[in-house]
Amino acid sequence: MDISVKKRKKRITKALLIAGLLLFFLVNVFPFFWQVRMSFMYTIDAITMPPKLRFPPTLEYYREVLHDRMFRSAFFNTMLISLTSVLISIAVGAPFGYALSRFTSGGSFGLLVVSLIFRALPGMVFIIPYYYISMNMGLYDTPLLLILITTATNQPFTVWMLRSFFITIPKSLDEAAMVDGCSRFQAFFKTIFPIMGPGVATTAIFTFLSAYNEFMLAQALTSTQAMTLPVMVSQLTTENIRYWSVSAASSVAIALPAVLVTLVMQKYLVKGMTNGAVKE
Amino acid sequence: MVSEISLKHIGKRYPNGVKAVNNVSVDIADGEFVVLLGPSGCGKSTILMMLSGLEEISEGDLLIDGVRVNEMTPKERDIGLVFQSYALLPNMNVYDNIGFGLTIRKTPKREKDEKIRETARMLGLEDLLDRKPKQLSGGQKQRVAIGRCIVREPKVCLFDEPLSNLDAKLRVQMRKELIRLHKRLNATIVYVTHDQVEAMTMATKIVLLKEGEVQQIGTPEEVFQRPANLYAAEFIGSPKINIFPAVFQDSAGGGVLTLEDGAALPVPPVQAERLRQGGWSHQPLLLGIRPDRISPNKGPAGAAAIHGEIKLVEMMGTEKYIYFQYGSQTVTAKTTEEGYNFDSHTSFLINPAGLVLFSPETGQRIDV
Repeated sequence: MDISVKKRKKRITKALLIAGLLLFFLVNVFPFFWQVRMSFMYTIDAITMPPKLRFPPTLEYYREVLHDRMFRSAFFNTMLISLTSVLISIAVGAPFGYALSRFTSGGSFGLLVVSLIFRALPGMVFIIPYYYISMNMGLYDTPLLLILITTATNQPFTVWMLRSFFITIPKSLDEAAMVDGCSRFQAFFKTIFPIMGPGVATTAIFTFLSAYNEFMLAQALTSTQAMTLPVMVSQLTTENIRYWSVSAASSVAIALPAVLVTLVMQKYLVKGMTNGAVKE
Repeated sequence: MVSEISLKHIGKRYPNGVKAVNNVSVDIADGEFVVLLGPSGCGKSTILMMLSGLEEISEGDLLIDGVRVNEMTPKERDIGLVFQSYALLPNMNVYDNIGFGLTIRKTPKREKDEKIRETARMLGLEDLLDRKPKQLSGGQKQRVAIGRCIVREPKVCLFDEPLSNLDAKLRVQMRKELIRLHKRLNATIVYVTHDQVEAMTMATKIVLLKEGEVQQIGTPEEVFQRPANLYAAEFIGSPKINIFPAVFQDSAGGGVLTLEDGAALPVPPVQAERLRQGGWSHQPLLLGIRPDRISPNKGPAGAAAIHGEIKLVEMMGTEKYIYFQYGSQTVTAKTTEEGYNFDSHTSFLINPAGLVLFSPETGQRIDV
């Protein structure tokens, strides 16, 4: 084949690929962009048809959202639940994952697989028992209940993920530490855990986002006291057009922490997700 | 500090029933450099791990300075271990890596600093103390790993194939450094390798292993000159020893070893008498001859000469390895002389001074 024809074919393929990616990007990002745009518009401008390209921007709805006691309470609840869930998940998952990476006998791996299957079941399956138990234990509509539930549902995933990071760390590192005078626990905390930065960060981000975005269980198991941001925002999304811009502003506001966490940690995220792909 | 180690009938059986080490008994004296030598899967690293306490001992007793340590943790045994992969902590610099064991054992700061700097000086690492492992070459990393082992002055230093990851040149250099270090510290060292050159050059005692069992224990000279069996004879020495089927023909005042083509090697009277007494007269046996005992024959072909067609000549610098076809087998000769070509028929002389005999049934050396 002629070299110029080959080149042209290559260029067309590249252009098609870029167009496809752009389309994918737009489909994914456009709704969010529309939401952001709407959050800065007065309601009257937001509902005008055809949509206005130029409009007087306003921060009124953000002010309204941020001064709203319910929003602040929901934000506090969400952060408390998400961060505590991350802390417990990592604190339990790291030694658990380490143990599973080093001791493979005794059906430990099978146990992990079973717990992952449990994790894969739809959350809906657990709503009735959770509701029943929480009502009986007096935990209904408390942050503690959601902390326990999000931790329990995320734990198998956290253990699995941390275990896969620990496996990439040579056993000789902890063995050398034990010969140097460490106990197994010291070897883990003094040598292995400190070099697990990317792995812990990646797992923490996923756990945080999962807890932060939890909606279905939070909706079913809270009413006012422990209401979280996703539940609160969903209640604002009504047919009443008065609330459209407020809803948009609160949606953007609740997305910000998640976006910020991901942006700040993305260096570790990439490092962590590619870790182990190539054995050093 | 005197450090004597005694392995008494040590064995290792895994839960799946595989027996990796069987009935190993070795005594290691203070200051000895013992090399556990054998091919992959012979159990040498398992023995080292059992010595370190990282692997449980299934059978037998391990004594350090007369104290049974089978149930002791690695920390309680006070040993040092250098891994093949260096096992350096990537988040710590050279200083902290060397001093890790001292930090864990809560050594006073000043004493720790002195020991680290002294060790670094000894290993030529004093300018690299601030560097992280990823900024070091393979040889430097290996030196840091050795420093981490010796800085604590443990009762015994264990080395698990420490030079395997280095290139050939660096390996030779590190070998010399290890010999020097051993002489200087007079430490008891147990060193695992599959490389017979490392074993021959560094060891004061070699423990040769096969399938988890000891084949021979001895100095490098003993293992080379007087191999306990065929396996030991073939494992040690490069190029490999030549093994010929032969028959001992008894005669008045001596005897000869007759090879399959009728070549007859004279056996000195003392050895012939021993063979006679051992009942080997007119019996088949295996004759082992190192390649340096076979040389091209320049004189007339006598009864002790063997003939073969040269198949390959390997140039090794000052010496050459000549591979020639002798009957159904390929024989290796070592020479420093020039002028040997492929496909040429040549006669070779065997120097009977270095011959070793083995029983064809058991493979054990026949003591003559």
